[in-house]
Amino acid sequence: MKKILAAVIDRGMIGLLVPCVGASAISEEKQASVAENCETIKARLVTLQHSDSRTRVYLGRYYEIILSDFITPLNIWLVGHNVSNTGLIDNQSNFALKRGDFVSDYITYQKSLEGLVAMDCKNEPSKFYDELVRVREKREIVENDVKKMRSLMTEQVMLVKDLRGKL
Amino acid sequence: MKTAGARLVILGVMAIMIAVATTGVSLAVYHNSGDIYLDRSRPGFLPDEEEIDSEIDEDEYDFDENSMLTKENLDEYLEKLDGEIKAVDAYQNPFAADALSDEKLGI
Repeated sequence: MKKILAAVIDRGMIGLLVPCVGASAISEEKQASVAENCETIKARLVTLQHSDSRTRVYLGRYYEIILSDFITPLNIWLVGHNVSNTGLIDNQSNFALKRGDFVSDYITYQKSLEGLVAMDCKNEPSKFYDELVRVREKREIVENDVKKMRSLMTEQVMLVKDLRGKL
Repeated sequence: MKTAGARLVILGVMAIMIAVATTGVSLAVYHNSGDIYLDRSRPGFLPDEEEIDSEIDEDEYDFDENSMLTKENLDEYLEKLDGEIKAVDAYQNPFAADALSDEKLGI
């Protein structure tokens, strides 16, 4: 009986919570600001799209160079000369994996940003802002990918210095 | 029996339909694969003049897989790698969160 009562209470509470979860957290003041500055916001988002595209191409090119001209050839040498260095091998696979994450996370982010730019912020400011929050989260994922890539580069330098010390 | 003119019209319509369908599929693949987001030849995404000038130096470094592994080789490797890392670092705070902040967007 207690279990049934608990379940009923739970469901009741969930029923009360659902509209709260679905509702937008944006204040009326912000809604008005989004609607009023809709065109400016969109123009800034488009500018950001362009600069992000430039950053993505720039970084992607250097990630490719570092992987294919530095990390991989050194490991091929190590394998060819039967030198065991699991750190460098692991770093290569981590670098390649994270690079893949960066590529796919960037696409996910850009698709969301594209969707945001296409939204009607004048008439649906609340929906627009909710979507903006989601786009921010996706951008943060890309930012973290970039930071991780940078730390893997530092690790490569450390591992090579360590290898050099052993020669 | 259809006349030759009618057949020609049907052939033309079919050719157009096939062209529209294949173009649609190509565009869908282009968009869904994410290639569209890397395509800098789109209007508005063209590289700036200064960007073209600062293209990556084509005189690339290649670690010689057939060479002996010496301290000198690794020093050169580290020096060249450091150059590439510095180029990556030249882009400060890529994809920083504040670019989408309320303040930056004017909300």
